Amino acid sequence: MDTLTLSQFQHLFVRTSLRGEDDQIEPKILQGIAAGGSLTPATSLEVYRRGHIVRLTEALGETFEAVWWISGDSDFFRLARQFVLTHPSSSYNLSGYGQTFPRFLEDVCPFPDFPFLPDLARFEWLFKQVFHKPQHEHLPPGHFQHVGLSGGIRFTFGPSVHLFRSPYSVYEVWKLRGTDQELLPEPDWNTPQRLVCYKHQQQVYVKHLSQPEYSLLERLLSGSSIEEALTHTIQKCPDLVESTVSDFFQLLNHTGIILNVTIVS
Amino acid sequence: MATGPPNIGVGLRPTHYPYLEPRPPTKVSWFEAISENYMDTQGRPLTMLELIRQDYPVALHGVSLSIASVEGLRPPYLRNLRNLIERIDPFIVSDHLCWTGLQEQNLHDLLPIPFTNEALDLIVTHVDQIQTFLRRPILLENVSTYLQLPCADYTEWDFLRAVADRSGCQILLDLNNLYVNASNHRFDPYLFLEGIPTHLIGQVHLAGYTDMGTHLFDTHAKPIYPAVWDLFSTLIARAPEVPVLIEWDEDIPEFPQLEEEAQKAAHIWTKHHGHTHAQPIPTPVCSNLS
Repeated sequence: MDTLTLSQFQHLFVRTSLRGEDDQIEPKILQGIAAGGSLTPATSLEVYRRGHIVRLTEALGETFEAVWWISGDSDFFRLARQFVLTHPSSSYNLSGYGQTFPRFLEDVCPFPDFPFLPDLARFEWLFKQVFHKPQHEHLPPGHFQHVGLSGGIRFTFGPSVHLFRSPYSVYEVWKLRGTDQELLPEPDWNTPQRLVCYKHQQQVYVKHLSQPEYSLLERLLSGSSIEEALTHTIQKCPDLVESTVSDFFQLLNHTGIILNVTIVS
Repeated sequence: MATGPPNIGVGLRPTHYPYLEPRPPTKVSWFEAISENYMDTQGRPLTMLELIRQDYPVALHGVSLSIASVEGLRPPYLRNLRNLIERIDPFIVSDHLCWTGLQEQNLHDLLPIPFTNEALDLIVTHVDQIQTFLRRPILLENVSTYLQLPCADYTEWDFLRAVADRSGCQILLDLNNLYVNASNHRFDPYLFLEGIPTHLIGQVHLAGYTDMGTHLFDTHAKPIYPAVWDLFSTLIARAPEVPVLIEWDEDIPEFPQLEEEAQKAAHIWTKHHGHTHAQPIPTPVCSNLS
């Protein structure tokens, strides 16, 4: 390494580790390397290159467990390798790797038979985010009833509350992960799905929402008052009935996702 | 609650959360947690760490500091680490003497550094920045390597010692890594051991490597090998108060088997020093900090 500064060496080492299977190693980095054991300079660099792919593949596998299950080992490892070599990590934390994996699946479209795969990956990423969110102190149900419901009320929700929507029933697919794929009946993937994910007592919960419920919660989460959320939802769902609204507020109450209530005069 | 021998700890791993959650008595004195597993979460991992902290001293051990990176330190990383330190109040904060990649191309590996004056100057500067920011000393661990870089100004042990001498940090001496490197790079491991004064050693790691046929690989997937126990015996004879940690990261056994490894370390300790009262966990002192 006579001619390489520390900076040159580190940049060259990273390029070497991220190179494709068939790409040549730049001769400059091989000069003077003393390989460990009975490795050659080239195979000693290969230890680090392979280690990088394995480590990031493991990180993807941990987050996208259901995508792995659907893909099978061989295809998942192939996809992961392709992703790892084209999407370097910029996070200091390995578990923060893979945010763009759903978009990657959308772009490469690896399995036309499973069009829901990118959405399944999005759901798995969201689930992980919710898992790491803090558990909030929710509003006691008594307080909720005491305040009563009026149009001017705005809610503050716990930080773990997130909505998810897909044209496919990805939550049902996700729940099957880890089971024997071949023994399962063919599920109907094509049912649109609206979900709310949240934490309660340190556990992540997922609940199905109807279209009006999703619309109401989406507006309330964005800071709209009840009146504003209802007005918006009625425009989108003209057949909204009172019992649906009543059930929705009971759902809010029971799930404990509300952090605070503000009455706007 | 701990009922174990002095200063023998084990790594806290998620696999063992269900076992540890009811707070059973254990044969270990402290736990070491991987800092990054708790820095970016406010979920169950952090709850578990805080639960463990109620009963045991905890050391925080990082893998992402990348202290030898030519691109410098990552301020968000240091801020998150400091927040975790304030929350957990660890008795040791450590990371590795290595770099992990570039900021936009992080390889998430403990990568080898050339033992040169250029690298030494950079690392000493970074240690100073870190210790000033964290307002506490850190320990740096020797890493396993599979290649050595040319134009070295130092042997590995002289380099490690120079980093500690010049920066005021302490050394986390991983005896498994020491043995792996001695085997891979064909040097006498006892020469390394003798090259590090015990007052610079703030903690010891013990783990198992995997023999790949062509080289030894640091996997933490096996029980500790006899040759590593021998190194430990030699070291602990002259450094009885140093905290010792059993690491196991792949094919992780049930917690009681991990305790057995800790018991073996305790047995070796006792062979040298007899049955004595429990040693307090020492707090590393950093001479360069005001």
